[in-house]
Amino acid sequence: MGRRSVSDIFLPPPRATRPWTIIDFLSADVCVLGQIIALHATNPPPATGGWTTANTGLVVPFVPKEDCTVIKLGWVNGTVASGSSCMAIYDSAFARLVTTGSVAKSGTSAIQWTDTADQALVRDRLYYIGFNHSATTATHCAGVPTMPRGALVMAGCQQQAVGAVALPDPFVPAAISVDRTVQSLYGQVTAGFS
Amino acid sequence: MTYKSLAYNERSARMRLPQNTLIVPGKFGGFGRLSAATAQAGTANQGYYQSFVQPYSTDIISMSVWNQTGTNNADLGLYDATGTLLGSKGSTASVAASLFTFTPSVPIPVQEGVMYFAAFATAGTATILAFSGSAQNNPRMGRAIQASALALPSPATFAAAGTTVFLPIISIVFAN
Repeated sequence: MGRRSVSDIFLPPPRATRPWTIIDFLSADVCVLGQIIALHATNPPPATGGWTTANTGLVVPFVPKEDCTVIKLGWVNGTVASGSSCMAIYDSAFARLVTTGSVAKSGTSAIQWTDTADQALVRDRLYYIGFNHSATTATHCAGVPTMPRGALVMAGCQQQAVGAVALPDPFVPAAISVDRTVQSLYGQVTAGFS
Repeated sequence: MTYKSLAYNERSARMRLPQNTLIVPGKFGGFGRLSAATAQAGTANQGYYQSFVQPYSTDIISMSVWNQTGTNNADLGLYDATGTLLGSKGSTASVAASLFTFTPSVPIPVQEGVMYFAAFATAGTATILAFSGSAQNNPRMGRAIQASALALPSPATFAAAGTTVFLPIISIVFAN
């Protein structure tokens, strides 16, 4: 056995290789809106709430803390699973990078994953996570049932009246006009996201 | 001897913020849930001071609050822990349904680990996106108030927030 250096003794061991892990796109670690959500008392996870406006998409800015590759996107359905939803990731210029496309909701109070094309994300770079739903009646596990319009604006969120559920490319951002429900959104990622 | 550890230590030392934006009061001050975020009016001409510990050395390039309804004169600024004014917008009319933003002409340098106070003063008519403070939460959050503080004075005279409810949500954007 060779002589051990100081760094061998005091540094943590190399991070174990993991097949995949999960990023919460609305956590305070990656999302300004998440900083507000973390303080918001009417944030009873898991809550269930309807989508504010049918076929009007919402994008929320986030910044990954590590390089990673997204392999699946998912949301949690509420107590009513009907209609279709769409989830997508956009770059900082609102060009769509990856999308689930329109997906029929299935499974009440269950997480619903969709395989996507692998999409690399670079740490400290700005992206937007987008979500849309075809109706206001189906419910989602909303991290916060309704976020005030001002909080969404302060956090850099944008909306688009898409007219359909599939999130477009590019997303054409418009100012948030009303208080809106915010959907819990997740990604399965590989390559060291912690 | 290897120096690979240096990169690790540099990355660990810097508490990265999404979009270089800190919400005050915030998680990074170690506080839990407060209340629903709602539009509230403050007390006329009162200054509201919220302490925070700067997570890393950088410059402040803007500060904002959300003006939900109504219009009145208001002020946004930054103080050090002794009450010295480091920069402020000056008493300015706000606009309903828009951000009220202070963009200093020269970015304000702030140092890692140092406590500062984000400050907001209002004429009391407009409603601002805010949490609700309480007699128990105010001390642990490091809040202070000051009467007759519009425009924000230099220096500030910090008074105990007591049972003050109005707790404006301030976003602070850093240069990097």
